[in-house]
Amino acid sequence: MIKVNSGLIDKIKIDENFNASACFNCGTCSALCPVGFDILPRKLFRYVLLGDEEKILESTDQIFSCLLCRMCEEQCPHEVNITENIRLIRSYLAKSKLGV
Amino acid sequence: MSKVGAVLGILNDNFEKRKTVFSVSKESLTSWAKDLNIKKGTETIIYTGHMYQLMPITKSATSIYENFEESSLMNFAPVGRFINKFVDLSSMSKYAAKPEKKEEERFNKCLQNIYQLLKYAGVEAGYLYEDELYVGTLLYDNGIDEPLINQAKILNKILKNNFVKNIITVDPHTTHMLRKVYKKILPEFDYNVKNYIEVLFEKKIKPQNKLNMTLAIHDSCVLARYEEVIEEPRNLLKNAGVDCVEPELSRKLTHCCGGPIESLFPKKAKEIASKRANDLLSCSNVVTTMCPICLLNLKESTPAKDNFLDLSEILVKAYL
Ligand code: SF4
Ligand code: SF4
Repeated sequence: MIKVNSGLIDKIKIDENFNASACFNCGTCSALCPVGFDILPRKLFRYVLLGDEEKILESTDQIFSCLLCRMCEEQCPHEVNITENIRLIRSYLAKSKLGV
Repeated sequence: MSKVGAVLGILNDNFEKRKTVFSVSKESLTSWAKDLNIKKGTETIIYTGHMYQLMPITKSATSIYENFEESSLMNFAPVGRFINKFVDLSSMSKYAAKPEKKEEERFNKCLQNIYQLLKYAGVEAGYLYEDELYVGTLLYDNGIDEPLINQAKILNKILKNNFVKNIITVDPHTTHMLRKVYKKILPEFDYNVKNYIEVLFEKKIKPQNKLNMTLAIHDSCVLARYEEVIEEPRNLLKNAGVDCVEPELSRKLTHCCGGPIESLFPKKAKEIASKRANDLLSCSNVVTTMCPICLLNLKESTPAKDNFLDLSEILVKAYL
């Protein structure tokens, strides 16, 4: 069962550039991703939109493994700000969950 | 506390307390400029951002951390963070992770090359010496942006005190941070920021020697995709008589060198680098990079280390 945190999106969306909801889950972005974790980036965005904090926390290593290389963004047909979204999710994790 | 949290915590504590992520002496950060007679400050400056200088210590520290990454010793990382608040662990790790002399000389030489190339292009750039600051890319990319606002304010003051208007950066990450990120987090941070490759291209420098060689180009993700600097290095190389070959993934579709995650996941970083290095070497046995992180990561992932050259190492042969 998913434990939903409905306020999660507001905590992450501290920047106008955060647009995970623009992602329509097509998977185009994953084709050339050099790190090859299947959570990046579309599953991660689903977890955020659903408020599934547990899944996000479980995926900390994968989230911090993204190179922010923008290969995905170059191909995304929906202009999702993938790397900035991931950076803001990291920011939330670093501040609220990892005690940085 | 997770390992990621502990490692980022140490980097963050160092940045807040010591204004950098790794402790490297002011002397080794500025020694590249020792015999060049560069003026302090002035309207146009070269800004190293410490990136070339940090590569030798990054190399030795990464190889040590790589062995720790999956060992139970990493469980003590949070303790390391606690101790680091009082004792500068990264400076102590210098003794464990001693940078190699020849690596230091090589990365310093790249900076000297860049300075001399700018001079040849008619740009008499100044330098901030020990007042120059690390711009904090590693923290910003990992979502730690608050200490950066303070760093941007301090740097802005230093630049104003030195009457700086134009900043010539030498690595893609510092170019992006100063050109886009600092401006976003501190609107009054308003300088004309260019990478040295853009400046050399704009100045239309003429080669003194034609090079008869073929090489493969490795574009940096940040320079090609974030900053859209793609044709400039190719033009400089082609004018020098270089036959540039491209791997399948190049220009806007360039493949990352793995470097951005080398401080958190060195094994994964090496895997990515090795794949990219092999792709490049299958195109040509000489490869050029335009970022010190790409250079270090790619060359260290393969036995063919000597086949990787910084762009400045090639340009000096043709233009100086
Ligand atoms: S390509 Fe863009 S829209 Fe498609 S899954 Fe990736 S981020 Fe979402
Ligand atoms: S930015 Fe991250 S998710 Fe996108 S291609 Fe690069 S490593 Fe993969």
